[in-house]
Amino acid sequence: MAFRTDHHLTGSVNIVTALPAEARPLVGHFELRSSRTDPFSVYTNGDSSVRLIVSGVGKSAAGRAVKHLAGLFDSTGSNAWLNVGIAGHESLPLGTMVAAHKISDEKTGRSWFPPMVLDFPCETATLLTVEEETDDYPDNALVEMEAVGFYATASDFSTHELIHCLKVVSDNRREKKLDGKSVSELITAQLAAVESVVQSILQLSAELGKRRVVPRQLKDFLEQWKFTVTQSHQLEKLLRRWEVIFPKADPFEAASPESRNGRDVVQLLSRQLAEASVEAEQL
Amino acid sequence: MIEAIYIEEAVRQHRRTAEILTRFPKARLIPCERYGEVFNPRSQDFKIQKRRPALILAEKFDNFVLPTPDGFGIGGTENYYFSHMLNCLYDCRYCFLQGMFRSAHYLLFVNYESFMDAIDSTLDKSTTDKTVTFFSGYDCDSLALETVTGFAEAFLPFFRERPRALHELRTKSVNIQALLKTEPLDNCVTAFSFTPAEISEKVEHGVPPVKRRIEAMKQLAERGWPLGLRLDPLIYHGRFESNYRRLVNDLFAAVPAEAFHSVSLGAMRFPKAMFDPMVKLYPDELLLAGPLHPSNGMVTYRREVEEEMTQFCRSLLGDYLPAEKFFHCAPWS
Repeated sequence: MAFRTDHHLTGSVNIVTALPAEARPLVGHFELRSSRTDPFSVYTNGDSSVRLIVSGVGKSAAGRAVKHLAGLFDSTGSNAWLNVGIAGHESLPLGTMVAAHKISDEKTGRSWFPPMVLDFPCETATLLTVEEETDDYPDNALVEMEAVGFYATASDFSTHELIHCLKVVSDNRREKKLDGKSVSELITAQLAAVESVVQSILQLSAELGKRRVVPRQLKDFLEQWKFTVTQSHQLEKLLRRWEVIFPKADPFEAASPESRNGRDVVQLLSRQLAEASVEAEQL
Repeated sequence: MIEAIYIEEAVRQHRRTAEILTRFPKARLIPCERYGEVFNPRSQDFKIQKRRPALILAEKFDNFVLPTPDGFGIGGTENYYFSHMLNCLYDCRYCFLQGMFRSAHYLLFVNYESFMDAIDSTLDKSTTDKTVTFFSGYDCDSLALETVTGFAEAFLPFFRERPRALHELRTKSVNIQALLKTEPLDNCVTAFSFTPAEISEKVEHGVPPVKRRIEAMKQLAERGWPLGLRLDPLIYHGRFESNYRRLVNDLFAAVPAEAFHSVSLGAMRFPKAMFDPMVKLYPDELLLAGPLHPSNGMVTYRREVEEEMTQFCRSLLGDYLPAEKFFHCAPWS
């Protein structure tokens, strides 16, 4: 069964972590509850506006988890996506959080570029996604194993501005903190920063959702008259315009007296909209 | 202003890249192989990106100079356009760029010399001795980002040495220092596009006020630069006549009619393929909601409205300018 909660107006974010140790602090912070465990562990908050999935290690697993989560919740294209996890870096101190401005696949050489539209509470850098764990740190990039799978798949479901990766440095040339307890501590120390990014992308998600709200009277029209598929698309566009041009006039009343069928309705509304007069002050 | 700069590796060492980077010492620099990795992917949101557009520095390899649509021109028989940059500093709600490109980032091709070579080739291939016109500012504003791009500074000396070429710099900017600090060129028309102040304030976000643009025209006229006037797009609204009359009166009160090389008019219209994505970005935008209707692949005003607006403005301008200065250079007309 899929969750079908409408988050058009409030926004929603899907968080993907590779490890349970990365997920635990986030589950606590966002007050998430386990909602299912097969094939992935999935957590949601009270109104399902924040969801989290534990993907397992590797880009393929991350991609599968994104698909799974997209299938569970409405895929209207306005969900935000966030990959939170650990990464290695040649020299950055452990615990440093970094947002990705470029994500490169070591295997294929292909790159993705999350648009820099947020006020990140941290530096940004290139992420290099590798196939296997490595101590070979690239120059000026963080190394990890999921971001490519996450980003490439999430961009099938949402717009790029709403998809981001946050990585906390867990190892460098001098030291490593890779056990579960340490990983959770590293993430916990950055929860305020994660929270600020989540709030920012929730706002974008809400804004995008509002653009896609179906006109409120579409259902009434579809019940009253018979429309072909093309006509119903035309009707939806016309009603959207009607709400903007004639916010106080009822399109149903305007259409009712003369219309015998869907074609009449589309023609009548089109004519009235084409003849509308707009004042400069209204723009 | 610009917080992120994507740089193609091939132009990392380009002289123009180095000059531009010195202007943005705090910007994050992000290397890329080709600009298309950043600019072209599907599922980008132009409206969200427009709040913080990045700059992309790239190299262009082909199609430097393209023919304009049939009938588009300001007196010459051969007409071409070239785009050193894609996207604009300003955010005009009617701008077709927001329906044409997936990304709102400023994409700047730094290899200006390749454009110049292509312009020379075009002039060489020209079959007549007549003027060949080159329009810039079709996919961007020609002057708005001059302090970053140095576009006019690079191209004015180039066109000065090519009197057979006529260059139109299309703009809404008052960034005219590059022109004022050099001797005027007879073969460079700085063409300003206007809507009345009442409309501009509402739908031309970030564009300098009408008064300041008229002042910029006046300064250029005083220095002897030929000017163009583009009432494009003409926007229909309740007090259309009085608002356009005031605009035209204000323009000609400040700028002598002799300074105008050409004038053109064009009602607001969009290819449907560009209009639909624009409405998806701005479903609550009254300007795009109506009174427009689809016709032959375009979204336009009704024909009688278009004709009424065009005739009215033509008549207003006819009080100041002779008919031979009227031309047709609105896209998709």
